[in-house]
Amino acid sequence: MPEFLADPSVLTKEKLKSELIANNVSLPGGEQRKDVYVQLYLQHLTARNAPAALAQPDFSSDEEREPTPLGARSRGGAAPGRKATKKTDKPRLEEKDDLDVTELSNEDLQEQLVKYGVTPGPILATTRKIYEKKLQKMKEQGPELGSSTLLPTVSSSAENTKQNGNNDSDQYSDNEEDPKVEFRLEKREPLKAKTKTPVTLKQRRVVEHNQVETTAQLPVDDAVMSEGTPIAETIVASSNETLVVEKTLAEERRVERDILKEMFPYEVSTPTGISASCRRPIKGAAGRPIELSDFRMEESFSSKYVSKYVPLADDKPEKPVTKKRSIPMWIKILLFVVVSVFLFVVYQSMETNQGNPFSKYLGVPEAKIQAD
Amino acid sequence: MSSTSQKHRDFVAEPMGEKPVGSLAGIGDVLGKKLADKGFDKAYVVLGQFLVLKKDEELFREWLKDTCGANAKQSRDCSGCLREWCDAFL
Repeated sequence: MPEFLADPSVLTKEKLKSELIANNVSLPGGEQRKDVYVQLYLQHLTARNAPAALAQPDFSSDEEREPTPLGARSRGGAAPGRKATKKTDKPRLEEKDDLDVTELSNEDLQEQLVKYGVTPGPILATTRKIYEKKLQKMKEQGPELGSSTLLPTVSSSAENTKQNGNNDSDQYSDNEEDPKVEFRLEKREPLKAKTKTPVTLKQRRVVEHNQVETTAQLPVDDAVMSEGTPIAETIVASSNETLVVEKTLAEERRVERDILKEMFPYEVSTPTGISASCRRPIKGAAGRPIELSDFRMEESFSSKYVSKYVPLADDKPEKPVTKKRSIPMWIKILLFVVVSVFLFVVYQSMETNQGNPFSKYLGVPEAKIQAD
Repeated sequence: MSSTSQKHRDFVAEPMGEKPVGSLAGIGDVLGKKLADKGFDKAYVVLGQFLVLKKDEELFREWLKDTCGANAKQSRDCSGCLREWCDAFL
């Protein structure tokens, strides 16, 4: 579809006439002023660049809409740049009649909300603003999601031309293919990495993390794209996933043992790989006496405990152990007293008669339960 | 006891009748006055707005914020209060 000029007055009179004739516009008889031809050009030809604007009044049945198409035509002639020059579809999507949500009628607002899957209540004076905001939010979220649900409905809506619809689907499929390609690239990279002989444990781990991430991402992304993705892609995806999963399982087992040996060099290596070590009672806690003989048994245990408790034992073997804890005992006692006082005050406050809280202390819990 | 306020419990305990808008949880003197100025002088009018928004708490909170400038906690308290009242009596 040839583009018609926004400002036909840049053309000469002869050119205007020839353009009009080429497009089957009937010229007035005789030589007219240039302005006449410009007007004709604007009316007939430039208006053809903006089919959507003219089609909007048919979209809604409100009478308010009727003056606007007349305005749209004249304005469309004067400023067709919006529709004529921008052939991309994104602005066209946003330029549904709700570019400004506040200009929508109540019914149109309702329809737009329904398109986004929202079932609005009645749109009244008090509720209108809220629904406008909601629609604004949905519109912002809509294009980001790829709006797979939106685009088909848009293309199917009344007066969009076939070209618009086709363009929508083209763009839609373009959106699909790019992430598709990205998925495949991501999948192939970890596979390639696997075929190389892994040198260190760390490299393996990194590769596995990537695989885990991609496999985790795929279901999520597949869900988003699920509405339009062809079946073939999912089959490919699932087959690649199974390959990846099988290989990860095999390698994970190998890696596990190595990691364990790194982490626990002092552990006894048993046939099952498990050695249960019973939890040591912490020496010096709860008034248990510390004996040096207890520390001789620690060869089989982790070295952490040894390093922690031997200096303690060496320094002060006979002193009462209250001072060498992480939280000193007196602070614990103090906290306990504070909490009990607090609870007591709470009981007191709930009690209606403040007569003898002490004597009635036994009766307080029962009274409290009744009052609740 | 749950984490609701006394005001909430008082409101939800019985049909609201002609209670003023200030009796709603989260709506104090200031917000109550603002709502009353806009015409929502009784609790049932605010209930009406809640119902018209199809008992959608999110939308109602949004509306409350726009109408009287309630903060997040206040609007949450109010919407929760109305929701419970509806569950009990509607």
